[in-house]
Amino acid sequence: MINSILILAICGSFGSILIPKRGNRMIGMLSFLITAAVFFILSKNYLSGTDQIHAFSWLKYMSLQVDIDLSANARSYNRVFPVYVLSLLSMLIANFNPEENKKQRFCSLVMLNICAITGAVCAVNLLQLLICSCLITVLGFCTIDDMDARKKYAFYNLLSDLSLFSVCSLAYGYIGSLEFSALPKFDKLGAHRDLVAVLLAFSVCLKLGLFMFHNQLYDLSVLNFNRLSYVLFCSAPFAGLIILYKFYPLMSVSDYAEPLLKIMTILTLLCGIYTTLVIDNIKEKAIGFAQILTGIGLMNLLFFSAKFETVEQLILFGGYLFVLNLFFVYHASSHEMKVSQMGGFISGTKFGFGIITVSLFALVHYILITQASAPYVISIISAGILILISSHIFRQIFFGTSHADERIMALLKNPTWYMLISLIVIGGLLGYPEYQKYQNELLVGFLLFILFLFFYPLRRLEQAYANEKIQESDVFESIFDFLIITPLTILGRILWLLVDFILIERTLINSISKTTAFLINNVTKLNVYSGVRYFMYVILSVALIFLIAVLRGK
Amino acid sequence: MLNTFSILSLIIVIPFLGMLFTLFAKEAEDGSTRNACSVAVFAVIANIIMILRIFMLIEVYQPGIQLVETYNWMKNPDINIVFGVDVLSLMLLLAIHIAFIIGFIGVRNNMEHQKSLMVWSLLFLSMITGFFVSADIFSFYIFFEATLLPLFMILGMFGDIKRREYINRFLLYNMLGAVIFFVATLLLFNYQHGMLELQQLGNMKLNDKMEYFIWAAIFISLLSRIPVWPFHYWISSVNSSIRHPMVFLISMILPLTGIYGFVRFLPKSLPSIMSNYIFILQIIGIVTMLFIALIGLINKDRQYKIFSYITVYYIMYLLGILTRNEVILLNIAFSFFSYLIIVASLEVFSHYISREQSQQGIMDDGILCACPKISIIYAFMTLAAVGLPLSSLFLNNFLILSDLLAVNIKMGIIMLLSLVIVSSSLLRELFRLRDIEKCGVEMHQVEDINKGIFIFMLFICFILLMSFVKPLWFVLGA
Repeated sequence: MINSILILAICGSFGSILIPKRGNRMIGMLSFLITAAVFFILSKNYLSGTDQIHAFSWLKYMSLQVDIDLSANARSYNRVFPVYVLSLLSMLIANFNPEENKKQRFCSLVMLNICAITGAVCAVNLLQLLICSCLITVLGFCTIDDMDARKKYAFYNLLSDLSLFSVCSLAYGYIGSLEFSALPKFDKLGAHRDLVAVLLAFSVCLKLGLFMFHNQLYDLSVLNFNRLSYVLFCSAPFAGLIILYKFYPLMSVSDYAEPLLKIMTILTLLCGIYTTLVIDNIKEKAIGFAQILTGIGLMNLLFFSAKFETVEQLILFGGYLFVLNLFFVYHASSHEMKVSQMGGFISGTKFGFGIITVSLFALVHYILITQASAPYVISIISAGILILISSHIFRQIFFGTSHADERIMALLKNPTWYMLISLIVIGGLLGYPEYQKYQNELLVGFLLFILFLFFYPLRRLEQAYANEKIQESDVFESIFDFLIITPLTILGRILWLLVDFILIERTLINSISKTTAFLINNVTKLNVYSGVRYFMYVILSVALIFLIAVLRGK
Repeated sequence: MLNTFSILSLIIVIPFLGMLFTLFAKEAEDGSTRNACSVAVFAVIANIIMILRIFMLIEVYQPGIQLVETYNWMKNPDINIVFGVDVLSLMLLLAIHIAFIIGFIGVRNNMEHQKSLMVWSLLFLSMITGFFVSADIFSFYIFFEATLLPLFMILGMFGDIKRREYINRFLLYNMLGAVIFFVATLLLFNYQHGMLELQQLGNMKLNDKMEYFIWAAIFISLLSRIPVWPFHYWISSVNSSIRHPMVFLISMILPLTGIYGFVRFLPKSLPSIMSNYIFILQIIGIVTMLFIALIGLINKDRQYKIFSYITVYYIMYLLGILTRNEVILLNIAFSFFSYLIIVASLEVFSHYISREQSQQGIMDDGILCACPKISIIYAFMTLAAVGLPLSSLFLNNFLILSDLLAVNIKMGIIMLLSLVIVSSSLLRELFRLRDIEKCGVEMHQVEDINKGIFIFMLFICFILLMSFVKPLWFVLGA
């Protein structure tokens, strides 16, 4: 593991520093091949079943000791591999997608991001995770190539990292150890439990882009599809998942944190459903779908104690697969962004629709697997919601009257080879495990899908596409602005003008300066030579001496 | 004189000699004073090499003053000048020297009073070096006051129409502090019947009245240097009004003398009288932090934003020092190393941007898009400044905050809030400067830094990164 990280870190660093005038794709492909080779070696190690221990002391002075642990075992491989798979596919797409201008830079950032994620997954102490989380933030920041999106991403993630920083500081301050294994002690030794747990929940919500903090994700819709999917699944949100998993013992020290996170999860799910159904922009729909899967995944984790690995794979592979489907639609329609401007695409992309349907059912199948720990009804409802939403979106795109212009209809395309490879790989990964277990449910689901396509039950929601207020509204931006930014700005202005300028400069400093000037002026006047003043000083001095003598005499 | 030659005296003398050489440096035919700048840079680099050598000579993790040099100044009264260093003073010295080189780079093309500026800057460097190697209260006092003279002269040279006002404020606060400190030194001298080494101060036993007066005097005099309310006013006036990187740099280093004074003077076990002072100091510190952070957030002046960042961090370090935890003190030294370099870089490039902006007559929104080299360095420094793991600030802030949060949660939370506000303020500024939509055609007239400076700044970024990986990476076997 340590060697693979070193190779990726060195190649990634060189790749991101180099600014070649030619050979952008060649270096990108080279990065892809190196990453693929590293993945191959790690897979061989995983299959051989041997654990490798790589822990070394990072800092050791006085009472402080910090270790770095990059030990590889089956569990860490399981958590890192999905990121490797998505990273490889993203690199492949980046190298052949004409929309990607900086292929080499993107691939280098992906390599560095894999290192940071591996460090976070293998972390056995608070500092290692905190550092890796911050590095993932910085790398995500570099991957996002739009200034506005970057700005929001940076602020939300900085806040999240600072919250996590405070949690780690408080935990270390009370338990005196940086190890995760010591975290359960916080319940006994620690104080301010509610604060710690709520700060942790806040940090996780910000990283994952849960309800109220999802604006940062929607702003990513200006990125190209490949970058969008990479940031959505392999950057800060994934770090949020790892943080949640690693710090879970701290959640239980308060009665508020877990219920808060549960509420946010459900609201995120609802928010995702709303966006996928009502928002016209195809990229925002993709982000909405990622939110739905995050909601379902977290629901399984928090309510039904599902396995972390399965939840992780659902969010990563499932979300990526759906975004890939929409990417294909976007590609087929010559980069049309609005679903309301589509329709009737089946005439030009029958193969595309077929492949989308198959991959969709691989996802439905995996949802049923993930929800094995949940009550059966919940699993069915989750799968049902997914089928309903997918059928609604794909009905608008592939069937009905076409709203697209003639040029788009004439140029409709089937998926490119690299999209197909990606769809097959991810679809296979989701569809293969326990593939015989849910055959009946899948058959019913498929019939339901056809039924929904035919009857189109949510057709009324199409009206929302024409409503500008719904399409453009940014409620939470305005709320944060109203509740946080504006009061802080007003307070700052009051402090600056009233306290700093009027009170200190104009009143305090000026008074001292004027008093000094007054004293100097008067003393100067007194010192001007004249017989009367000389006589007056003599009398005053004698009077003073007399006064002192009288007082002493008493 | 007890010993004739010593390395600590040498690092005070080198910048002083550099100052003399600079004073006699010839002007070029076109009237430029590049020679002066080159001599100054050479002197600073020579001193850096000596400081690195000193690192090799001491036991870095051993507490206490090392490499002690004693010079007998007077027999009657018996006054010795004692020099000595530990890892804290050496880290601060190294950082100041690197910050000075960055500062010199920032002013190398500025011909206004360049020779005088180099002379006074080197004198300041010599005095501040003397201050950090002082190991007795008498030399501490001498160098504490001696650092004021160069700044006073520089303020006089570079201030605008209101410079008299700033100089008045500067003198008002600092002379007040100086007089009070002098009284405290005299009281201690009389009470102890001789001069005191700084290391002995912690074990000093005073009677109640004496304790009350001496600690009050020391606290007030040291605070007069630190931007804590109400003493912050002279620094804020100077920093936000005089647009010159070296002036900013020197006035930014001056509060360090106050902070360092607290490290040296605070005893390990606090007398009861001091706990009251410390409590008041903590409250004032926290209020100032939030106050300045909020003003920095709304103030559109970039220099004020950097000043607010400096203030918040200085106060955080001060509060960290008050915990008297050995690990924290060591980490403050490591943290200061990055902090000084980051602030110097931010200020130099901020000034460069302002100068280009005023020369081209353009707005500075999006200006960094036109100069990618500055953009990379400025972005790196900002991200390191906000506490991301790119410099030793990250780990050390973590340790300082963990202790402060455990000691006093309310104080810790307000401090965190202030840190968030100043970080947001710096980030907002970075985004504004890198806003590609605002980058018009006229921006392409803006000149980027040359390759040599870019490589040097990349090297500085490397130093910062290495300080994150291992704070004493340059010391063999540390």
